[in-house]
Amino acid sequence: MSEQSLVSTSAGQGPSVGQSESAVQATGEPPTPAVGPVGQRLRAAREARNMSLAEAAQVLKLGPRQVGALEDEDWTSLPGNTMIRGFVRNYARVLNLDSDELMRGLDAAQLQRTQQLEVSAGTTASLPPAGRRVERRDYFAIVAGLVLLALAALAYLYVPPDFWQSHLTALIGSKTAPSPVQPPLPEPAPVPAPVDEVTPGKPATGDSVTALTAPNARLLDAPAASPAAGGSLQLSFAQPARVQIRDGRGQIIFSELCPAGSQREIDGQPPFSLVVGNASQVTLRYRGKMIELLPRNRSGVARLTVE
Amino acid sequence: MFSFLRSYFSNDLAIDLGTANTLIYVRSKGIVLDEPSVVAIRTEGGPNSKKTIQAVGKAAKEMLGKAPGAITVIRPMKDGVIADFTVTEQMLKQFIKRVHDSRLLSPSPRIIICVPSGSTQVERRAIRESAIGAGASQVFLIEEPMAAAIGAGLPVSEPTGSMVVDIGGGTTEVGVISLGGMVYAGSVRVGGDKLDEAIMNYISRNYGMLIGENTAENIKKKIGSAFPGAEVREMEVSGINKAEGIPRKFTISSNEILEALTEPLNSVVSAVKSALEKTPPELGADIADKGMVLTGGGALLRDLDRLLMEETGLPVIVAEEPLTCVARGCGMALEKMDNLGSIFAAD
Repeated sequence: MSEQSLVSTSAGQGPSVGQSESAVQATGEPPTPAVGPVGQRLRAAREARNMSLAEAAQVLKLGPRQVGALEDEDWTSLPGNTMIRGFVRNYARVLNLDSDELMRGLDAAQLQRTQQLEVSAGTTASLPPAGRRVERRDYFAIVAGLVLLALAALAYLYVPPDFWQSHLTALIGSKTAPSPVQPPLPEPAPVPAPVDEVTPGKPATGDSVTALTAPNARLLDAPAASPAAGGSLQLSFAQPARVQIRDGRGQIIFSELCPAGSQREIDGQPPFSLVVGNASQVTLRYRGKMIELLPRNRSGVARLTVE
Repeated sequence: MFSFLRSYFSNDLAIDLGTANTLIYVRSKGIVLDEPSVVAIRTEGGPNSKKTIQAVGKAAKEMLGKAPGAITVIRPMKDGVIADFTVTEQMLKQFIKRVHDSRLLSPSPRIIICVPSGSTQVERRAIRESAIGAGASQVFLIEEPMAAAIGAGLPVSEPTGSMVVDIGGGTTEVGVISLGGMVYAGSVRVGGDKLDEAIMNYISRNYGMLIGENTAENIKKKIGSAFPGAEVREMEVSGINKAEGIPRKFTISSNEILEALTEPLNSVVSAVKSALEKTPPELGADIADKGMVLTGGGALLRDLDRLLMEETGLPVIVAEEPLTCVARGCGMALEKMDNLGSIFAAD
């Protein structure tokens, strides 16, 4: 192909590069459907220079396959839009063509741009960072634990030790309130002594004294010298002893260390629960009746309930 | 305290803080600022002696080599990293102020800023600190080759090797990228500045003439080339004759400039070759197929791509608008900042 034919070819193809379909039809030579204007121009210019595909590939440092793909406009076998544009620019420079015009041709071809940046995340799972072993979740657990500990410490310091016990007793007491005759505990455990003899002259109403913790207390005698309507406990101490008494509502009405030789009289609402230390040295009377305190354990503490 | 509020009113920025030029990309606006990284500082005497910033950017660059004693013209970036911390911070502050319209609140944007891949931890920390000092609420760093590859339109997130050579003012960065990360990153401290310096030295040595940096840059832009071409171009240059001490004019040809540039260009070529040597074979095959992309101002040097093609035997293409590739890449990263983890650099 001569130089002249090159000129005519490029002149003929010139308008078609500018993506105008009508211009192509006006020239009267519709382009081959498979190959667009860019490839055609490149091929024509190369052939005009009597350059083989291999020579062009050698200059462009591309494979002959790639140069062929450029001329055939087989964009899918070439590596991406950026590279294709670069290759075409380089090729145009080798062939002394106007690269801007070819770029416009490529714009018209609308190559798909590879502009997705995200590396597709296969999963959403993530490994814990190597440096930080403790995760946020763990912090919550730690903080929650610390708060619980603090609450426990506060409770230990500020809530009276018998708070729950008294409340529970009150609860049980309120449940059993409709039948005050019944002892708080279900079974009035086997009482060896004749319990019903307590008040021979009186009906067995709430006035009766029942030694619930049977081995601890035994009703000894019943002198009729205590007509008190409310409950009245009399304690006399031969030796110092500690006594704690709760009334029927579960509240502590008396709690102290009583010295030797002293006497105490406590009024309140029966039934009374008593905890008496050094029980062998304490004498207990209830409504004038003597109640024997049998120490249950070795330290001499007696627990009993008196109605 | 109200930083979250201020960041709500501030646009996020991507900054290409280069040795030669600083470009700022504003989210959803594009590149809004392209200025030389030059600051002119005036030192005032008298009782209240103080230093004030006389000019920043283009205005300051025009003063380069022409300023009186009271004005110092500084290029605060050297070899891609901060040489003068305070001045860099002030320069960034001025530039950020320029791109922000809001006057009510001082701007507190999130900033993506690029760093040379070969920079040390200390240098990165300095860049981060200066951006925070300039008012950034958060700073993310991105390595220059990654930003350049994104800006050039390479498929960085695909499992295929892409090689990018970014020749900036201070450094040349070579990166091989695959799956959103840098497989290889190399950096040599040769860039446009070194080329200018080489031209100044050559003319001083062979012509006995002294020329300034701006003149050397002009020579490089007009007749500089990296590969012997068919046509020889000439240019008239004026400088001061060292022997006579008198300004003279002389003519220099592109072949001479080619000779002057040989040494710094060889460093670039060897950096590229060593990157190719250290690239894993699978990615090397991709690069042999696709070649490498040149970005940065250095890519505009005539026939640099041909030099690299001849030296490596691989296809080399120059990216479109190579000067803004890094800034555009930073900007694209900015637009999708919230779902891009892997492309940002750790400290």
